Amino acid sequence: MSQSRMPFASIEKLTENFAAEGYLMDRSLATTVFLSNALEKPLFLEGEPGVGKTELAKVLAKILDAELIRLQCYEGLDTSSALYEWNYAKQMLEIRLEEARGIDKQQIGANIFSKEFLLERPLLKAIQVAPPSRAVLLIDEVDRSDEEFEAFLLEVLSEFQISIPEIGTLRASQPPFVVLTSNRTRDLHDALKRRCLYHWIDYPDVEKEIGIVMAQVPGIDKRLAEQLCRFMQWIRTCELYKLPGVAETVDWAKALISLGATELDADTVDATLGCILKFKGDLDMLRQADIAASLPEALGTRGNVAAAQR
Amino acid sequence: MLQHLVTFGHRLREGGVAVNPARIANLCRAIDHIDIGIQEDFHAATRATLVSNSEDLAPFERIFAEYWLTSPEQRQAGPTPEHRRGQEAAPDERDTRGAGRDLVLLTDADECSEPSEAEAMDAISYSHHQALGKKDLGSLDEEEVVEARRLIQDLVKALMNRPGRRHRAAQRGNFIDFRRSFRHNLSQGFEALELRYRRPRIKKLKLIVLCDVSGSMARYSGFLLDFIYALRHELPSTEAAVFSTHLTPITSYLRTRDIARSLQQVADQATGWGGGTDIGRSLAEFNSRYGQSMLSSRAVVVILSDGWDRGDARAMRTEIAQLRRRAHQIIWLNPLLGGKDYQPLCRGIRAALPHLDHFLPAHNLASLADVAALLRTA
Repeated sequence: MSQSRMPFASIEKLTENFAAEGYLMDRSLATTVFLSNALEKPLFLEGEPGVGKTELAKVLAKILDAELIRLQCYEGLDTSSALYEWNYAKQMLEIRLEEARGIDKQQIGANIFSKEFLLERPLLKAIQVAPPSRAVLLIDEVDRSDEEFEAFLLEVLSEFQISIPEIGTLRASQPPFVVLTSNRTRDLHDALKRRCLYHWIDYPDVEKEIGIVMAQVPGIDKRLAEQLCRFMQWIRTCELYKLPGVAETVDWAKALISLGATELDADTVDATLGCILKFKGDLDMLRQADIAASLPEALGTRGNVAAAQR
Repeated sequence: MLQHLVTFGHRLREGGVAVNPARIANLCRAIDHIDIGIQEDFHAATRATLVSNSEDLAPFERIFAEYWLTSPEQRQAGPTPEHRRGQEAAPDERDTRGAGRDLVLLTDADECSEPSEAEAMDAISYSHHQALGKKDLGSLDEEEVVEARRLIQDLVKALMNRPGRRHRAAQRGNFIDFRRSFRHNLSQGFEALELRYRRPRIKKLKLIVLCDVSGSMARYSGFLLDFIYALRHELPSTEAAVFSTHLTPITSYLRTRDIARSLQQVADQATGWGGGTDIGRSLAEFNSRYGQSMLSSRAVVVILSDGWDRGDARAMRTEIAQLRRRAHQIIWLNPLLGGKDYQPLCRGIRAALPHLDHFLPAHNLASLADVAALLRTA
């Protein structure tokens, strides 16, 4: 086993390493990440927005001391944004220079289509990382790409090689650690999923969420963290258009700290609600429901009940 | 152990989780790396390799518990195949496949015009009088039919010829194709710079029409089938199905030229014609039976319905969400939307609304024209 895989000696070690970076994971997620490394298979993470899918890849890169290469997907994403593109401006200049020097035209053609004029996009960059280091390739929100790109991705992920007509085939000397994330706005093709190890990341329960907040927001009072997380558990039981994720909890905690709040009261909640609810309809709904009235319910024992039901 | 894993895979497949030998092979490789004595790890490894869909998680957990967490003796004496099938069809966990199987059961939901649907019909006649001379789609004369045809052509054009996000090479266009320009000029020795262009590739979409033929829609059903006919004339790849309490595909009947006869055939085929509505169940049938083959990112699903639904609103929400994830767009055309006072209050529509791309009126020719105009600019 190479040096870079040492942090993954065992499932326990892996969990510890992630915890040290402030990322708490349950045993089943840890096992999946462990296997993804052992089997060299891409990790396919699905879950609601803000449950820590992207964060996992970032922490992973930190632990492996690897470069994180991120490819944000969108509809119409094509090879020139995902793979490589020629640096046309530089080529243009080079042509002028070489012409001035009286270099043969055929030769110029050969010169300007060399690696020097190649702009590496994320996928090419990921397979070009020189050993012993290994890149973490994050293919974010793959559900937002289209089928053409998915098919192309399938090819890259199975071979880890890329052909450039002008240069030849480039092969990864060490396949990157691939993490794909999806918010499930559409289903991916089965062929792509089959190549990956799958894990559905759920909203954490209240204990775990408190742990996450304590780890992510240093200096937060335990009591405040507890109140905050209880409130979040409660708010996720409401009929909202968009439920807030863990990322929102952490943002909110940071906001409260910078406001010097030590306790969650109705006024503070009302003033900072924008940290967790990002849609006007949701804000209106909660404000109409009267925060002052629902706060005791949210923070009281009923919050626990809701958490247990989850 | 291998034997066990393979049998477990079979059980999963019976339970509706798509497991193939490649996945089992992955699992075999995975368990080399973990201590299978730790149940939690074994569970995580099987789940990570065999499941790739959050919908499959629930059946997976159930079957995992059944298979691995009971002793072998119990397993041997466990449910016989018949037994198991019976359990599957139990109401609490009747999945989409189960729903399709007991067709005989469904016909008992045929008592037509429940109160809400009767109200709906009142609402229609009301809006009819209010429509200021705009005729309902239910009653068109010869000339208007021609006009309707033209509008439908417009509609199809608006829907089908959308610039995509990908490009193709072209002599003229808005985008310079640097790569091709360089290649071309290189061979010319960059004497005179000649640019090459690219332009958006037209995205060819496929239309799938699901038409409600329940009691409250009866008034419109005739025209709407005409509408489907016209759509198919414009776009032969269009697929169509009608639904009330469950779904009947009608694409094959639409192939013949004799409209009247095939309409009769459709009416004969579609059980529950003019009866109650269960949109959730109908969509579930569509998703499980035809979803795989018909839906893709190029599919535009058009639902023609007033949304009066006596089925389970939650089931409908799940099904429409699933439909949305697999299709490019969902357009809901609602004849009731024409009425000024109509608010999408009934549970069915409310459940569906967040997942729809367009929710538009389709009660007369003018509204169809509006639909076409809107889709062209959208």
